[in-house]
Amino acid sequence: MSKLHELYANSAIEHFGLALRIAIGKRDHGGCEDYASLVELDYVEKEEQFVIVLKKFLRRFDACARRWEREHPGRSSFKPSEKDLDEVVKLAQEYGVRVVCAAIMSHALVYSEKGEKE
Amino acid sequence: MTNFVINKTSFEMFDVFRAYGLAFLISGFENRVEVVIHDMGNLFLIKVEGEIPKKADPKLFEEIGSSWPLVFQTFKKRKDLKVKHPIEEAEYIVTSEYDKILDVHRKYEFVPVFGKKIGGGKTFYQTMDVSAAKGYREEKRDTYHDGSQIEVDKYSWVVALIGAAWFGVWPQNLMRRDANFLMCIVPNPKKVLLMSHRDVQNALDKRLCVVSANTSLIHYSVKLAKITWNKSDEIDYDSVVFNVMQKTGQQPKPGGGGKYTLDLLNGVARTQEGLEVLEKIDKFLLPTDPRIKGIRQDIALAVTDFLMRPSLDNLRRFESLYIRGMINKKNRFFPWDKPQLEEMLKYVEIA
Repeated sequence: MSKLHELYANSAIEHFGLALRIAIGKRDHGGCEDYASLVELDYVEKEEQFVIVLKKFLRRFDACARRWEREHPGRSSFKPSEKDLDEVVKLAQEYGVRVVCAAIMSHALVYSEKGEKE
Repeated sequence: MTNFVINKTSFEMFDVFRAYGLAFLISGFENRVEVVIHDMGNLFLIKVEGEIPKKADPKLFEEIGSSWPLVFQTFKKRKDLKVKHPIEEAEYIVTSEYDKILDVHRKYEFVPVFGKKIGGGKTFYQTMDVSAAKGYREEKRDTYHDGSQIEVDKYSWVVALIGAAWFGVWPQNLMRRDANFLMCIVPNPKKVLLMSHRDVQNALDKRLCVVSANTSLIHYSVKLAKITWNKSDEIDYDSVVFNVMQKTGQQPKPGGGGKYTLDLLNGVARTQEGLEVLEKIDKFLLPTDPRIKGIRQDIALAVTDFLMRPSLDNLRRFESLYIRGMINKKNRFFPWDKPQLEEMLKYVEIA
């Protein structure tokens, strides 16, 4: 079985993938159309760059989450935790940045909610 | 049980056509005997259960339901032509020398004879194997000429023709005038019961994604894996042999060929999720409309590259394009089910 398959099952990767899925969604559907993060994750190759890309992504995602919380008072938005961040960086050191990015993007391809089916 | 032998040459498609052709020559349309083709590595062994029919089925040379016209598309009809049309020649050889054809293929030492001029030999057409278009290697001095065509002995020629006409798959939507290439595909029989093979091929939709030769090949292979996953006791294909020809104003020119191994697709088809992945690829990701453009075309090419070589780079390219396709709802690219994608990721090769 491939390394990518192992990574795909990791919860930290899953949380970042879900965040990316929300981030690239349309504003009308609670997303924030953050295509910049998508492109950056697509092209990042080095660990140092990867950390910067994640930082930028989380900053944008945080803004998006706060906006969503303002629009939906009393509800809290999903956010990857600090533990997730540490885990993803550790995995990038262990498996390589490109594999980790591919695993995160794979999660962005799957259904995040029920009722979204074709 | 009677065994027949098809010794392999370096012409892969020609060999496969000979195996199917000889098996079909014996069984005919009415499946007069049970015929199984085994790929033994250096030869195809054809095992026949039952009494060998005394003569060939006359329906073998009927055009309806066959690809006879496509096999002879490089043959130029001229008014002043003194020789018979090759289909008439083939029919004549089969009717007059049926026993001889079977006899030579009973011998393990019989190997097709190729050459520039062979006594009673026939032209080895590029539709039987695209390598034949290279012609016979010979010295050319003083004046230019295209070179001589390769000839092959008539017994191998006629069985290969039958195989090409009845078992070569020509994608239906490449028969359009505006298609710029032609393609012939045939699955390699690792172990195949001829009767079941014919049922499978009849049931298989011949409309393929014709964005490129690779997409057509992958689309056919995906359909094949989908249809044969639960028939492994009767049908086992290990690869798909393909030939590509480029259309020109004149005769079609050779455009390459090769063998695509079905290990990946057969592996994917072993699970329910894998079958769903193949269904999604077949129905949504490889469109059969030849005029398709834009992101649909890009994704068809990306998924084809991934299935040809499941590397991390190819997966990333596919993912990246698919996400771009999903962003615009008009494209109607829907997210994947988690177990389906998980199944696909199992096969990603990381260097």
